[in-house]
Amino acid sequence: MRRCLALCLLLVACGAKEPQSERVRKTIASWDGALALTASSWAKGDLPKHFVKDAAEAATEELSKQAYGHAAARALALADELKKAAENDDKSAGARLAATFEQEAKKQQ
Amino acid sequence: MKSSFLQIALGIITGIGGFLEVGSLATAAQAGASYRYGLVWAIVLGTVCLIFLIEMSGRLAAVSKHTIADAVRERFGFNFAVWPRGAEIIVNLLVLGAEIGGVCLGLKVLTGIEARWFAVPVALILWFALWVGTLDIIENSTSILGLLTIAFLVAALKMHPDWLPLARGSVFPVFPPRSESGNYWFTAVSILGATISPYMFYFYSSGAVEDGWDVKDLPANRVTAVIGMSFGALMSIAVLVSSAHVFNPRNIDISRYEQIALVLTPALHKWGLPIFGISLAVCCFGAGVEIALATAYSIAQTFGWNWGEDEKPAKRARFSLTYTVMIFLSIVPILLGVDPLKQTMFSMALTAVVLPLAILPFLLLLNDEGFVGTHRNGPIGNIVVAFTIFMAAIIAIVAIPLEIIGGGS
Amino acid sequence: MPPTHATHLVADILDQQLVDTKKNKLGKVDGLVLVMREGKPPRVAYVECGAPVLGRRLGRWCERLALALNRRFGIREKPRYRIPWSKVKEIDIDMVVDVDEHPLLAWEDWLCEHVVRRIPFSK
Repeated sequence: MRRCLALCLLLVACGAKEPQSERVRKTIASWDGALALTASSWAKGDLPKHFVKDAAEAATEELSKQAYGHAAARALALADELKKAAENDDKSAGARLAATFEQEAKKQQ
Repeated sequence: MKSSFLQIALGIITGIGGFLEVGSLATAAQAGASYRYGLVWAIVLGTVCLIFLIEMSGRLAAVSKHTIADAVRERFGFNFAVWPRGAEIIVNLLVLGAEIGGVCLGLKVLTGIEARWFAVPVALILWFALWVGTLDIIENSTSILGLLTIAFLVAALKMHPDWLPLARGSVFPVFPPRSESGNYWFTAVSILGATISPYMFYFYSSGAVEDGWDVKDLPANRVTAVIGMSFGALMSIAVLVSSAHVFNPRNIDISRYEQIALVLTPALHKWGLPIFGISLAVCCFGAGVEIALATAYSIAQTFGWNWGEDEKPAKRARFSLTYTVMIFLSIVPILLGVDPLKQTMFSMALTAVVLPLAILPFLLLLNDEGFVGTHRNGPIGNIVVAFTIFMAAIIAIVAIPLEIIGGGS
Repeated sequence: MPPTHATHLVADILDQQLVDTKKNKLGKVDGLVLVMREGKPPRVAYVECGAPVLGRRLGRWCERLALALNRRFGIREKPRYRIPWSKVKEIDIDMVVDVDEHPLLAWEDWLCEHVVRRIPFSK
């Protein structure tokens, strides 16, 4: 029984965690991708503006965490712009931001 | 004896409420986003185990006229029964809170109003449905509403899945790079923990006794278990496939509901978000009904109280007050601002830890002539249960370390 | 089966569901009281129900806690209730007992009267 338990924990430990910098990059790329999809869908009329605002706020909340530091500055600024565009119902700004988010996401890869 | 349609309705609502709830939606979306089809096998494996366990719950109820909780106390005594009951109360309280949170998130997606504001109204509606409804009304209406989730299947098909890799992913794990293996196995464990939920067995066996099943219903029980759980699994796989095609190519990792909510939009356009919101709300409502009733059932049956959803609350005072207290206590975390997704992930890890204790009695009860007579488990049934207990024990040990290493969000 | 055919105290009697002759659920058999007889096997004298009886099975501290809570909040005069074995009529899926006056549903009745009936749509 004890051997079995030790084996399980060893197997778990073998799954090493990825480096912090890699996780930061992936998270920022993930939110860039999510907001690109959100903004482009909104520009097409597929999403209501309250949802776009919520998505931008969620991204801001996640990326404002200390772990992301300066790396997330650009993404945070863009998220803020998207939020303002949603508040003003400016879909053309949304389309423009969608393209910007996509470029940023590609840069992170 | 009730009609076959009602029996299948019980199976479908168990499937919808058990499968498509906040935990399995979140894990299926995460799995598809991070690993494309690489974790379909976990849903399939969990479903197969669940079909056997649900069938056994129904068989126990039909043959012995005992529910699981009842049989556990009678066969193993109060000193044993108190442990799974105690663990169940704590876990179900958290899971119920997460499901009510899921309904609130669905409503937030539809209206833009902060989820917390919906907690009390949703709890009241859930309580009211149980207070005045009967099992038939609840089973039928939630089954019918739950058919909305076919939208996930439509969306998945519109994404033109790659059938061969999907078939392969249903059978074989597709291992990711070593640096991601912690997260991969954490997601697999989460899917299995979300799929094999003990409250489903208690709900199903209690519903079977309340509906008056007997030996004649055993074939229908088998069909119901297979159809109900397969329906739920199909919808779960559909969420994974949609997620694989929407999020994976864009390198989107799921950490918030504001991301999951986009899953139907590329396929269904302006209908995508509202259908997601309504489906999430309905599925989580169905799960909430199941969990609240399952807990009240198992406590009442352990202590020998009068129980039953078909009678008026005045005739089942302790039973009715049990689910009432459960529902209103469960919304405290969401009112205090706890994130429903985080509460979901935590409660699923906790479910995984208590799973072996919940499943172990099946091996003994379903082989006990005193309870099931000649309708004992065959060798395949016993192998599946033994394997499930073994798998549940592994999950219980590694769930928490994997959460730390794999890093749930 | 008739009560005389019960051979296993634990399997056939302990933790069984108790119902009255009208099939109302009364609770579970929480304990047994045996009479020790000189030179003869022990005999079941009573089946016992109540929170302190259950508590004793978990430990003395649990029993004391149940008794203390009953003194503070309880509405049952007899937290431990004994049903004579002669009142047990049948042992099948449930154990049928022929009791008329009993405190086994005291909490059910109190909660019904003081809480549940005051909530709309409960009747």
